[in-house]
Amino acid sequence: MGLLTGLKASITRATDRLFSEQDPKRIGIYGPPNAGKTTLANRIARDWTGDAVGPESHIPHETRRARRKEDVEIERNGKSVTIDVVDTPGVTTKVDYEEFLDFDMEEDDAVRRSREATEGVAEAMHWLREDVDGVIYVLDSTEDPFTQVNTMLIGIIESRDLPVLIFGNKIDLEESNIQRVSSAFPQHETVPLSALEGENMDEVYDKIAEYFG
Amino acid sequence: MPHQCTGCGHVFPDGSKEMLSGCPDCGGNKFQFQPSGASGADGDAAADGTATLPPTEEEPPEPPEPPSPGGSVAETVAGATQRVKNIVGGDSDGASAGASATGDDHEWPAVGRENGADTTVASEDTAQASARSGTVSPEELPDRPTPDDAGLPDEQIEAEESPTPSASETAVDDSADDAETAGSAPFTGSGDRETGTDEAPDLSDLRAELNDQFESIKIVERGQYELNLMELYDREEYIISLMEDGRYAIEVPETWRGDA
Repeated sequence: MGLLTGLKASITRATDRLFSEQDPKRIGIYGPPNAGKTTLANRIARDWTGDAVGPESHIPHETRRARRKEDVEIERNGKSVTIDVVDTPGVTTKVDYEEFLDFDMEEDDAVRRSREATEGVAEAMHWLREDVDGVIYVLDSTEDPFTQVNTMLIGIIESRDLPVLIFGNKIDLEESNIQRVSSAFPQHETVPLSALEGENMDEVYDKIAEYFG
Repeated sequence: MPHQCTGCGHVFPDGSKEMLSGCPDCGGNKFQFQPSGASGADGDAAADGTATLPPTEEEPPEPPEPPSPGGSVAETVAGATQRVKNIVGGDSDGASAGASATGDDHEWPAVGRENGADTTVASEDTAQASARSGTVSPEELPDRPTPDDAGLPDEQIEAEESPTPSASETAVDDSADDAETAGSAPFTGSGDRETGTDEAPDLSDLRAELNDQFESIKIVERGQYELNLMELYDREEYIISLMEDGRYAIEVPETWRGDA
């Protein structure tokens, strides 16, 4: 009897899910290289599923393929929001293998990384066109946000009417200037955080639930 | 996204190399994206031409460069849409549309012909006028292998520029008044036009500019790439791998969906 009840409950859950209006939204984590996208994706995934999404690195373009973590269930204020998190490669207009040589990388490895990073940008742009329902745009708050890449990507996101949150990352660093980030994109909400240190994650999850729930 | 000659409205499929040798119809050297909603916009004429993409030496690879940090892609696209509408269908403001179209051509005199692309100058007949003002459907375009023609998954596409002196037989000078279509080199005799010839780049410069503007990914050198984000975003197909020799593999939308 218990088995039957369990089975019934399981079917009910599956049916609910099938016809729910709250299918998991696919949220793309976008931004320039080294903004902390993967660190954020890992933070979210670890907080709510226990698993990581991918390796983090201080070397730019560590993430060269989009990685997806499905069914991340975030609980906020007694409700739960389920999203699929897509960690995307950093978007840039130029990739140069010489940039990687500074990190003690062999030239052949640097060239390969450069090529893969370029493919990664293509993939990220394609995901943006086809497969995301919302965007978390991650910026390094110690860097100047007024760049062509940021302007263009935010413009594309706006043109698609996707819900977007700007995350000003790395507030644990002294040079962080969150005001500069929020004034660069005043039309969007900017959430300060440190994905690495886990600072202000409560607000991060509140906003994710609010925007993408 | 397809490209369009700003002079005569000739539409080139996305990724076409044909335009590298100038527009086969009018010889024009200025092109712009043809936004998907090109017919939707309405409003006054964009006579200032802010949405056009004039080749400049320093221009970065993103073609529809946002006019300012505060500008948005949507605004740029909307501006381009208006521009296309004015040029392609412009009759209400025909004078300015025609003038700007021919003006654009004359800004780059004879560049399209240095390549040996012989174009016959003829008076515009009704068919040509129709071709100039109408939009070309994909079936009417030349059968030329381009990345967009890839019907097969993972098809290897030659991404390197290949010179295509492909001017069609029916070169159309788009000056509707036929004022100067009698000459054999109409684009050199532009003294009566407001734009002079001083900005003319040589053909390799022009090609480089067009390459910058229209290639999704440009291989500068081994391991060095320049990316055209708008073009990458606009592509239907998805570039999945690059090779150093300039070739790349794509997956077309029907085959790549559902998994990534």
